[in-house]
Amino acid sequence: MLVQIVAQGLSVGAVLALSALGLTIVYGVMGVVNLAHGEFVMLGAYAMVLLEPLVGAWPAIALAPLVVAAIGLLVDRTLIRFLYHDPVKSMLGTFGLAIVIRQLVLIVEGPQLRYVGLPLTGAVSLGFGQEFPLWRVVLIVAAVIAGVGIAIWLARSATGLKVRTTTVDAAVAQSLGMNVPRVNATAFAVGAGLAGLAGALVAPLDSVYPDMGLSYLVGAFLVVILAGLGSIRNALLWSAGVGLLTAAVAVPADDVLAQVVVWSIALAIVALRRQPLVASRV
Amino acid sequence: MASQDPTRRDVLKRAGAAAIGTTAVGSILSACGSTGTSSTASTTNAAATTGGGDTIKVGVLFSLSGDLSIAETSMKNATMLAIDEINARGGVGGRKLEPVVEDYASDFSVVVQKARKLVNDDRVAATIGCYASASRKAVLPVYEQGNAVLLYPTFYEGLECSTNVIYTSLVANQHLTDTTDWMVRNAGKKIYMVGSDYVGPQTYNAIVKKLAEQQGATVIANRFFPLTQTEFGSALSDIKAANPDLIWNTIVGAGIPAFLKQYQAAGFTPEQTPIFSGICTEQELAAVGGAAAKGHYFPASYFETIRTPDNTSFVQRYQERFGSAQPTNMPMQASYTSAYLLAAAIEKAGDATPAAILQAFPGVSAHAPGEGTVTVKDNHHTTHTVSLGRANDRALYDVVVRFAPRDPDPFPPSIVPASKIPSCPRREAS
Repeated sequence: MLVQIVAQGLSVGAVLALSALGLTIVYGVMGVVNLAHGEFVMLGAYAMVLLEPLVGAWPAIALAPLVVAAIGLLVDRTLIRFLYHDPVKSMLGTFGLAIVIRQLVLIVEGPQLRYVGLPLTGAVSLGFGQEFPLWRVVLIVAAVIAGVGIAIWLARSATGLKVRTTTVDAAVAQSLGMNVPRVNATAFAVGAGLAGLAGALVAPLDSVYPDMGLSYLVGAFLVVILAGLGSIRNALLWSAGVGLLTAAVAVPADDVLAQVVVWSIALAIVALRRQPLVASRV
Repeated sequence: MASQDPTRRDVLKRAGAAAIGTTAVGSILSACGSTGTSSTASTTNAAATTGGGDTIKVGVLFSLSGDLSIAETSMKNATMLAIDEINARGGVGGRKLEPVVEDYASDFSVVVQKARKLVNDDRVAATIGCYASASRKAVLPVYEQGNAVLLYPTFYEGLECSTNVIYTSLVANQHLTDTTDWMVRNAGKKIYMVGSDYVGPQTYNAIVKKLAEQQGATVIANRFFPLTQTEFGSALSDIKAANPDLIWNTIVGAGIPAFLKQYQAAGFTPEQTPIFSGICTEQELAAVGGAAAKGHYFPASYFETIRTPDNTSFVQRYQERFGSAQPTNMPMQASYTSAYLLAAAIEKAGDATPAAILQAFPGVSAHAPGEGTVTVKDNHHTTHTVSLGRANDRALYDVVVRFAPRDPDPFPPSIVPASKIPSCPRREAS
């Protein structure tokens, strides 16, 4: 039972982490609370649905984040850039954007549930005679790679340095000759691309339809609220924590109860915590 | 009951959005306001006559846009097909049926306005319509206060018996009794139950649990999930550990494909642990895909795959009119049959006023394609013959066994204590 809880918990945490990473980067860099983030996850899943029959599952998983990043770039240039560093405005703007994206997908692809097959079937042994679905292992590995990859990119690459500089003080970065709009656009595209990756990876296990994004947004927000907006390491840790707590209640007892427990504890933590909601950014 | 429950889902969705900091207060208010209690003052038009006598107006009330439109558009189409066929053979008592089609756009406040329009303005003789239980509950006051007639063509959980509604599809006792019996005898006595957390699945699972236990089976768990949940890994881990003979499933809507795909990913097979679903028509199954759907069971009064001459002809007529890619299923067939039941009731009444139609309905029969004769009973529900289907690799159900016809009982003694069984039909206290 314990092994199952840990494995299932990490699998839930992996999905939370994949969807929370993009949200936290976008907030960290440009102060945008992106309520359309779940819709980017949904777009990633649709990219998987549409690309998988054409190019196969693995190339589709590789392409989906690029497609969604490109959409993110377009959205940033046309809408998001007017909403930088104004959380309230950005919430209203992206809430509207979410509705527009959902309805566009509804018009183009219709309301029906879509099907994506499992790229890998089979199970891995956890020892103690326990088995675990292989695709959930892929999710966990992907989340770790994405999290660590993003952290290294921010810490070591030239673009990462610019992103961090812009995060600390956009005006100074600009005065030092950095192309701040380009840095912002890059960060937004990366955030959208991560959501797209999450969507492509969950599509084989989830039901793909225009309204699927909301549950991912809510999950990502839970993590980000606990971790503090803008902290990648904390986001990864809290994702795992929330996943494990969910599984610890849901596996032996009940999913409804698990939700009650997780949200009650989250509420208590947020209420009792002295430090401000927004952590030191990125 | 149907497969989705948008009112609830929308409320959850909007509540979720509000919880994360947006101002969706207006939406929540409107969503709550939509769930009924909208009583008009116009209680005086009990004798809604149908005008000059040339035609008989029939309301056709379905969602032709929005979330529910896939299912309900096909139900509207099937209703229209039947109305046209009835008119082609000369109508009813020399008068043609005149359909008044209204789209309620998957919105349970719009459905009330549209029902009011049909009852109070158009003064239709009867309405065929509604899909999710929430839509039926929403329009109930309109039909009861206007003393109008609603034919409800969707299988549902029961526990209702309005004077003004004729329930033309399956009610839970018909849907579940023989299926549970067959399931326990053929698939095993150790049952794990899952379902979505609202009235339909709760009622379905309670009935199946009771019936299965009477057969000597053990229900080792009865788990419910929030309606929007599509992550079932925890439950599947627990199911794996419990190792049941079969899974009874009333997860609805978007949860169904996710549950079946995750079941497959977790290494379950239908040979070892088959799933029997209470609320999973061919429409949901299509999204699962043949590979993951194959081998699972669903009981229904109609399947497209039924190979009888009348059904072959029904499918052909439907597809000739609406396109060869259009599948048929139980709610559609019940919508089609509803129009014939209505025609028979008007014929029997010799009068197309709602009051006369209501009085004439008990005892009225019609032929249901692929199923046989169905009859409306005194309790306003309809006799049906249920078959158990097993999904093939095209995500359609093949008939495994056809049960004997069964009478409807909206208040089955298995879950309703004898002292609490109301007279039926009766007005709901509203």
